[in-house]
Amino acid sequence: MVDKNKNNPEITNILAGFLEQQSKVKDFTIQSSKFRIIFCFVNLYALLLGIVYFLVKGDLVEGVNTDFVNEVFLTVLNGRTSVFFLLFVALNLSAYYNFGFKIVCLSTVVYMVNSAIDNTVLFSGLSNLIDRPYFSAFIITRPLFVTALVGLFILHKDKAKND
Amino acid sequence: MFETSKPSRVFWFSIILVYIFFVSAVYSLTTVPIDAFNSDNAEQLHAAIKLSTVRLVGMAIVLIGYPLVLLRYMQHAKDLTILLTFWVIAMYIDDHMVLYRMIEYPDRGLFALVQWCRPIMIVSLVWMSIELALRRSPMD
Repeated sequence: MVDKNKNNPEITNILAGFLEQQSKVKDFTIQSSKFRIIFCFVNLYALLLGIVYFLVKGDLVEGVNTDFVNEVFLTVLNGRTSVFFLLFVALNLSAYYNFGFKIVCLSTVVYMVNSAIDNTVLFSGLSNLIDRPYFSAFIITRPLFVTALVGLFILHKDKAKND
Repeated sequence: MFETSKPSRVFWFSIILVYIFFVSAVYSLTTVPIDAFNSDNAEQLHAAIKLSTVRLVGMAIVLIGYPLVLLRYMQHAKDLTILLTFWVIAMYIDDHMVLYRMIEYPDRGLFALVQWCRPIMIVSLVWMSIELALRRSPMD
């Protein structure tokens, strides 16, 4: 039934209000398919890294030379994983809210490169890559991960196209 | 806040602080007392010196090219400063949250003073980054 008590200016105002709401709902940035694929890869990589970390920490993996998993190495591993986890959460949150993504992404890239340099300097002489196959897989693929993060940094769109 | 395109005096003061810190760090690295390595934590000390050497070489490359980038390519200077700031913060977090059992810096002499001054250098770099990020570019 049509409410005859409402006149034309009122109806126009109501419609304008709805249009404003709709535009607010539509005000999000649609990222490119490349970005979404790389973002999925980064999340998957981080998830696998987390799984390997818990497997090694809990001594659940057979075939790993336990000599390198000493107390100091575990401390370093714990610290790195904690910082990486914080950065990873911040990366996902900033991507979801589309706020400060590039800054978080850049800081993650810098942290990853810095930790790679530190690891190379401090742990390179301690063991061979064969002694720790699970970690070696992640060390070897680290450049790929950093490249993916750089790709996210470049491909990310801050604002909607209609702005 | 930063209406003019020229860097402020605080910016120049910060950049001088950063360079003084860097020169002091290099000098302290070359003058580590020999007897420091005879202590119980010689292994950690050796790791710290090794790591500092690699880091300072990287920083030397950046800081030698920085004035040129700052004077010629202002937009890239902003990116480079932000990158350098992130790197310095990452190193500080790494040293105090991750590698604190693996490395140990000498607790006396110039090296200790340089370590103590690290937060000041970080604050200087953060200020430089903020100023370059918020400052109006000459194109505007």
